[in-house]
Amino acid sequence: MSDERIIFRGVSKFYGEVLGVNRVNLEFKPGLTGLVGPNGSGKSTLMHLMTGLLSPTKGEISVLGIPPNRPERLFRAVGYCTQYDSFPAGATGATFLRQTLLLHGMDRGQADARAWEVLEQVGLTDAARRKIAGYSKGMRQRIKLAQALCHRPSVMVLDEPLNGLDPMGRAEMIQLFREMADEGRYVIVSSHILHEVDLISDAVVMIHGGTVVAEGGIREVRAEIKSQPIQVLIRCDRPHAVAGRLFDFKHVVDVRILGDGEGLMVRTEDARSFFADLTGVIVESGVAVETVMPADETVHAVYDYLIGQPGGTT
Amino acid sequence: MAVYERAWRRYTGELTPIRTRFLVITRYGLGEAFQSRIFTAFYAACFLPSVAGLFLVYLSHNLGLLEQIGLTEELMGGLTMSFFQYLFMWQALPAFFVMVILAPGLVAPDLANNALPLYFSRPINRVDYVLGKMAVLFLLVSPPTWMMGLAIFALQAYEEGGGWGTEHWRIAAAYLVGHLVWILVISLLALAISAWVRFKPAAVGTLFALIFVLSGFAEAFNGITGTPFGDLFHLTRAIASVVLHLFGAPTRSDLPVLANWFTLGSVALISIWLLNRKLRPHEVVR
Repeated sequence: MSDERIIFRGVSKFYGEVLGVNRVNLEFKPGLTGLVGPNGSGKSTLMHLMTGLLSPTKGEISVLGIPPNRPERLFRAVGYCTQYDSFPAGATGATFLRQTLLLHGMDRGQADARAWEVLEQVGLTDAARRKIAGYSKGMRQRIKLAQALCHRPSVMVLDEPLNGLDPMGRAEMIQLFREMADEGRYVIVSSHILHEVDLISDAVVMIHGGTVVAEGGIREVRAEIKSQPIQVLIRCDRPHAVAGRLFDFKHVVDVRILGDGEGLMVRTEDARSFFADLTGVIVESGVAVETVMPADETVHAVYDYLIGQPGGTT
Repeated sequence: MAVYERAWRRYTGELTPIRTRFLVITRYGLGEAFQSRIFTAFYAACFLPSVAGLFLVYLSHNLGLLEQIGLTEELMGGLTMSFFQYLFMWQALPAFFVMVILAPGLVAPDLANNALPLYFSRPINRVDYVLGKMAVLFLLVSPPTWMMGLAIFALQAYEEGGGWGTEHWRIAAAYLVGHLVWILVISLLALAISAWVRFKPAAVGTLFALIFVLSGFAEAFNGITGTPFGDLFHLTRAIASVVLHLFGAPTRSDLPVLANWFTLGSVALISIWLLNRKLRPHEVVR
């Protein structure tokens, strides 16, 4: 039975004396995984290692049981969307995809049919016969995505795939990624647009300075950050009454009434106890609660806690 | 963790053989080459020496036609070995220009535009990439060189009859081996240089400069030391000597022909090494 996992075991990559990634141990699962980190953190290195475009200095990588240094086997299972904007001179969208499919081993008839199918999927049917050199940034991004998914890979490795897309284009692409992930594929997306990663990812891998600082579902990762109290937003009609009662609990470290006076923000060191105690407070004080929700179980917040100000270093 | 049902279908159709997929790169390379009308015209002109050769062979065996155009049988009588040697040179020279003009356009833009990650994220490796690009040159240069050369040889053998072909087999061998070696060495050298010098015109200039500078250096070395060892750096003399040896004629170098083979082999190996160094999906800039 073939191995259905993507595994990094003790992987390090050094460019001479410069560190690319260091001692990475990871296991990707099917679904959508966001790869997050500032520029130069090692996101692209990790993707290049996974796709065999770089060889590890140390360690071992296996993509569905295939070593990445076997491109003829690997790229039957993997589709890679590079961050570079480069295409064969004079190629149109249709010829570019056809060439890609021929290299993947389809015959001309199948390559033609599949090329048009994928062009429709990424919304480029009308521009298919135009030269890629004349495409907008967003269109070039789409055609790169098309060449990554055209051969129906199990694993999609997408390096900054949302760059240059307009909001509508982003929404369409996110929908496409979501569909592919829901079909049981591995979709690994690197991005520094944190709220989008937050929206689309089932899991995240955070990397900083070549080291993986966190991996897993965002809630699990957040729960592991003990040094930062969890923030909970409560929208209710009498916030002062609730605030007064909450200070009785040891795990509550901070309570702020919201500016509009219609709720409060609580910081607690123990989320589980907090939610248990909150129920009693609400019942006893008889306040009308509209919303109770964690305020920092987001990629943005976790990134901020673990790596620093998002945007500051990216 | 969500549980996913595997709902998508992988491509299950028949695939073309992996070993011949490099020809996809070749096919697109050929298409690109003929987009230039000037190149197409020049390429057509490369056949002229061979067409003239065919005509001369035909003419030399048609006494009536010779008389009609006022040529004597003695003038054209007996196509000598020199005829075939000159014809080889006139085939090889334009073929050299075809390779020099075309090769930089095959590799340099891919490197200059960071296109190698794109190429190598398909089921091909670096060997396939180089083979695909080299095949463009090989397929273009073969018809006006060794193919036409063998056709001329075959016509002469047919017209002459009486075992001429068997007796002069070295001519056919020289056309085949000589041109193939020339194509291989120049293709590799041109691709290697264009992988390092990523600007097309500069790559063409560098290739010419390299050949002429090496020739000049070789001559100077021979002059100063009074030895023929400079010929080890003389690429054009090396190929000329190898071809003449194949024809069974005296070579132009005072070195044994094995040394000329060594020169050609070294150039090919160095070119492969240079290509191996440069053709990587990601260049590490330190």
